[in-house]
Amino acid sequence: MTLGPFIYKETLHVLRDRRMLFVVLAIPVVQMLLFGFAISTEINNIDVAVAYQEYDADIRQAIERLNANPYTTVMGQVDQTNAYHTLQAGKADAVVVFRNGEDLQIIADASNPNIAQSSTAYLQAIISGDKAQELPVDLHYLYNPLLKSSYNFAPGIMGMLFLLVCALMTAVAIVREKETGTMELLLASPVKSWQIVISKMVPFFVLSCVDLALILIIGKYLLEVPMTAGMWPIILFSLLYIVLSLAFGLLVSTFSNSQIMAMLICGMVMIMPVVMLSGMIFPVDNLPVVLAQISYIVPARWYIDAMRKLMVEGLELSLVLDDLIVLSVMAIALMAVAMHNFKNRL
Amino acid sequence: MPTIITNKICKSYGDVQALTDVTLQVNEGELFGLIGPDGAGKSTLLRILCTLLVPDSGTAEVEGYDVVKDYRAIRSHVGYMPGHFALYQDLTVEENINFFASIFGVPRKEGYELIKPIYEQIEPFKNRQAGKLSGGMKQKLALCCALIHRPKVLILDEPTTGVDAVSRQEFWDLLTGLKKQGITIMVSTPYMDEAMRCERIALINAGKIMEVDTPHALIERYHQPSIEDVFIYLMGGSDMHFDFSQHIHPEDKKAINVKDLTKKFGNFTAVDHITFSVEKGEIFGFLGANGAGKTTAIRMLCGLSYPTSGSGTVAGYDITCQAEEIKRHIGYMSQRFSLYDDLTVWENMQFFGGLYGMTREQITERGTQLLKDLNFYDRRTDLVTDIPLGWKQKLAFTVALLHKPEIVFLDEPTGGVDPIVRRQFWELIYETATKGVTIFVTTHYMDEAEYCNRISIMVAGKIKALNTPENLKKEFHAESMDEVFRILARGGGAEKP
Amino acid sequence: MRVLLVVLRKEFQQFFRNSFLPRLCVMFPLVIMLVMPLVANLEVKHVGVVIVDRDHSPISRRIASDVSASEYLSLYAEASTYTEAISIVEHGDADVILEIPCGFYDSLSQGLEPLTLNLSANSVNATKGTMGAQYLQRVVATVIAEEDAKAMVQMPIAEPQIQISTLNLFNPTLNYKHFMIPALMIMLIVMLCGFLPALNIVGEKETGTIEQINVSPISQLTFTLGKIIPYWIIGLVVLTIAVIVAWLVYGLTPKGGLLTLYSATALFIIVMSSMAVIFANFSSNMQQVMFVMFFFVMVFILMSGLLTPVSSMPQWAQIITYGIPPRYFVDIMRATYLRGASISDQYMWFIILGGFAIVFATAAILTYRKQS
Repeated sequence: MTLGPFIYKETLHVLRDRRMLFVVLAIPVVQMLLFGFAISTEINNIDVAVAYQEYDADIRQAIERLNANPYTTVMGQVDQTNAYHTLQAGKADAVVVFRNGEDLQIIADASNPNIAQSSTAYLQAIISGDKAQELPVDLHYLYNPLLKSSYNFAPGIMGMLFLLVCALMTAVAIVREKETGTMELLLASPVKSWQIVISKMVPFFVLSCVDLALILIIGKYLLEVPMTAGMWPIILFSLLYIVLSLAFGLLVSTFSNSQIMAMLICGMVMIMPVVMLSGMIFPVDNLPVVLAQISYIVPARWYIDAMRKLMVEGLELSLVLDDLIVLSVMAIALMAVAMHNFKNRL
Repeated sequence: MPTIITNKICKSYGDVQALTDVTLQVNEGELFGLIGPDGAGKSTLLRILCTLLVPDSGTAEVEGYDVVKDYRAIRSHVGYMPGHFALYQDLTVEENINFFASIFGVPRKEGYELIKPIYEQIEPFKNRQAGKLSGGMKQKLALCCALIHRPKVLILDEPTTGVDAVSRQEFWDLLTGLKKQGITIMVSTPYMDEAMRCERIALINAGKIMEVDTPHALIERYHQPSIEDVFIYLMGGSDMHFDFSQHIHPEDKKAINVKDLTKKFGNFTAVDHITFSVEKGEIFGFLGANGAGKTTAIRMLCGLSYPTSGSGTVAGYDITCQAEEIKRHIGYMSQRFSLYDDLTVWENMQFFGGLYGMTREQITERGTQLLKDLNFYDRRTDLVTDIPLGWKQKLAFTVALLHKPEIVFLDEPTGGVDPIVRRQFWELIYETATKGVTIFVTTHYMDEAEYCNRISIMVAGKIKALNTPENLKKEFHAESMDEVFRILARGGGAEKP
Repeated sequence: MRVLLVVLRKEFQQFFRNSFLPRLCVMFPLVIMLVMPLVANLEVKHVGVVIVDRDHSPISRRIASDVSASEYLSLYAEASTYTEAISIVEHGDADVILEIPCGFYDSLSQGLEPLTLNLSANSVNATKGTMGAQYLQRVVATVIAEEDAKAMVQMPIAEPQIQISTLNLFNPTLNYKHFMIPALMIMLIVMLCGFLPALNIVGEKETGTIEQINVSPISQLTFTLGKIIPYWIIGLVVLTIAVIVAWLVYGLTPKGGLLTLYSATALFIIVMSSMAVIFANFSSNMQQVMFVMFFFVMVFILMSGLLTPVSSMPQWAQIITYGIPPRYFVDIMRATYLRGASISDQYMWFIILGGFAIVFATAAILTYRKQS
């Protein structure tokens, strides 16, 4: 038989479930837009309260400078003894306490250490104003001059999404046929198991490619991710990763008997490690040694690493050769194990 | 030479021995029945023949091919229909057929001649999704799918479970037609009347073949009036030992009274102005073909669904505005088994009793009594999932009686269970009815219809007949309810030019 | 009331009979609380620095040694050309390049207009890039200031410098784990109290047992409460496990008091599980409800300020966050755990969260239909 009608049937299954189709296509769009336009780790607004005993010219000057700065908002004056409570109630991010004489203290809410450090440094710079020397430093940012967090997260989104679409949905689709009993019919027919498997994979493969296209278009035209290395290496890597995810989904389907079980295994074995160990959100450099070692077997780690280099840094393929080799080996190995485990009987 | 040969097949799942030394021969062009209760090993045997399972020991051949070694060859020669309408529910009728034609690599036209008489009946619905078809339609579609590649051997696993009497009849007519074309058919069924239509049958119980012969030879050998009695005799069961009609005295009070009840889904009228009443204490059989609107009607009576128009009362409460009051006074056992699998019998009782506001003491007292009557009290801490189907149905009925409802609705309570359990189940129904509880029951077994005080027959959303079984038989000049049903359902349901 | 108890008993019997769920509810918080703080680390430390030193002067050596000494920076290598340095960055070994031009020391020591240092930071990860640049600038500033001070010994001081000291309240050791722990508790609650009730109800739909309940006289309210309350209790147990781990392993206790913590969580669980019930009421299979839930959980986690500060979002996005219940819960949890805020300090947020709880629970009850 030819695969055509089989694939057509699988495609119909996917198209009939509108709600799911919508979610699968909406996830990358919403995520890219949120990361691109809404979410930022940059500190661009610090609420400051001031405390002083005697108002003088120096204090006036400092407050004027704070008011003039677009990144700081002066929330008003508080009593020095009240500084603690102001911060505790979350009414300000920092309190600048002017003591008599030349002494000055910045009390910061350090709940978020990153914000605290940046904002104290920032406030210091503003308050010391022209008294401090202009640093003779010419700072420029490489690869992401606008400091958009989407640049960092786009590869992460891809790493997550393809697993979700390819692995989870493929696994569930196969297991659902077991549950409804139609798998019995397929097995009792002359269809070969590789044909069943390939036809199951094709629609999800196509769906992933649509997602990939969406991400690349949004990335390129809305978020202006450079992608100077060209599209082809990015597409090559993504296709490889998609195949790997499909193989993973197939593998999961071979040892689950219910959709719930397939979902749980996918959730536990894939999604959790990907979120935790792939560098999607949390940098791999920060991992403790043991976890860093474990992260080497998480495919998404390699894919996300390569995607950052290709999409954002615009590096050449030769610099991601190691990622390419590791992913290829993983994909082939997984596919082989999955196909071997796929039973052609009940 | 025989088409199917099995030789000392054994198969076990863990500790459970599903098949023991099964040796059978099915001849070419034969219509062979595999008869046995739920869990007897019928499906396991059929699956081994379809190469879906590998036997632990023993050999089997289909068309001269070994089921283990030459499984590929068998798979292209055998048509298989699993027990539970294995269709793609989200694909349309036509898409299902096209798909199955394509996986066997045959053009659709080729198999069309063979399926034509069946397919013509479902053709009007060819663009409807399979999940939205009625049971009889699904069954015909599944058969079309199994036949589209013109197999030489057809293996059918309980193809008629949950299907109405007329559709069953038609289905067997189809099988006889197929047999004439030289197709070897092996079919399993829990219906004893169907066994009579096979050339030879094998009675199977607990994984062992008890008898293989023609139905008539078996009836003669054991001196029993019917094959059902042969079966019950061999299983060591007893006869129906009650005379029902004498014990039931319907009161002249209406338990259910509906007028012009109608339900529409979009522009499809599922229930079309039905008017009837049920007396208190009566056993009322609510019959109809698959898709005639029985379930929809019951759902309205139970307060699960709003009527589009019409009015009615159940247990004295209005079905349009007092649904919650109705629910307090009725018991309900649905088509799909609905006790919690992961709870014990006793926990299920505590839960369902509690839902109706019974106190713990009341539940304990009544539950103990009901379970003792059923001889199940000692096993009350068993998980429902570990209990055989027949017992589950009886327990579900018992749970539906816990809060002493005035009316009990039973939606196909005996679907797929063997004759012994069916008899026991009806004994339970009678005992309950003698205590003055109104029973409202649907079934596809026409012998069960005869046990009812009165029956109504629904065809295409309308009630076509309502009377006692005797009067109906007289009215339609029929020998049995089966015939009455066929006359009515044929006349109204599948009208043909 | 009695009916509610019966329903609850059944839910718990099923819960404990399940081979997987009770384990999940203990293991999941343990794993998350023990492993995630090690992983969920957005603090920027040991940023790799490459110095292209063309000056080879005392000051360039001083900068290099200060970089090595800093706990936030680490000196990866000294490169001789910028191209070489860039290739080190491209290989992912370092993130910041500092180019010190030839004659920099001389320009400083002779009091001339100082030559410009060239600083390039890899900002693919924006936080890391900016913070790394900031740290390095600070190092440079200190070194230059010292150099100036030396120069000033010769020239009398013109203006007195303001002494600026900083005090980091609430998390004086700037421990990132302390910042993440309340966030992780929120994630636990969102995941468990979001997904489990939704799957539970859709599961009853799939097996058909919900029919049997619909045909009984149970009220919508009782049924919905029967589905929400178990997860309310499970959620609070999970919270307790997390609180104990936080205390034993990380020495972190809620400064604002347990009462504040538990009452906020209690309100938030109602919001989450009501939402789950609403989705379940509109879904017919598990896969559907999983995906819809996943979508919302994702938006919640991203927009609530759990990982990135709400104050960093653009105005329009900040307005949206007011409609996202976890935003208030995130604020309350962090304030309670780290800043020691009590209920009275943040009563507005409690009122809003309570409002959400009422609205969502009402919607959950109303969308559950016993009759079609």
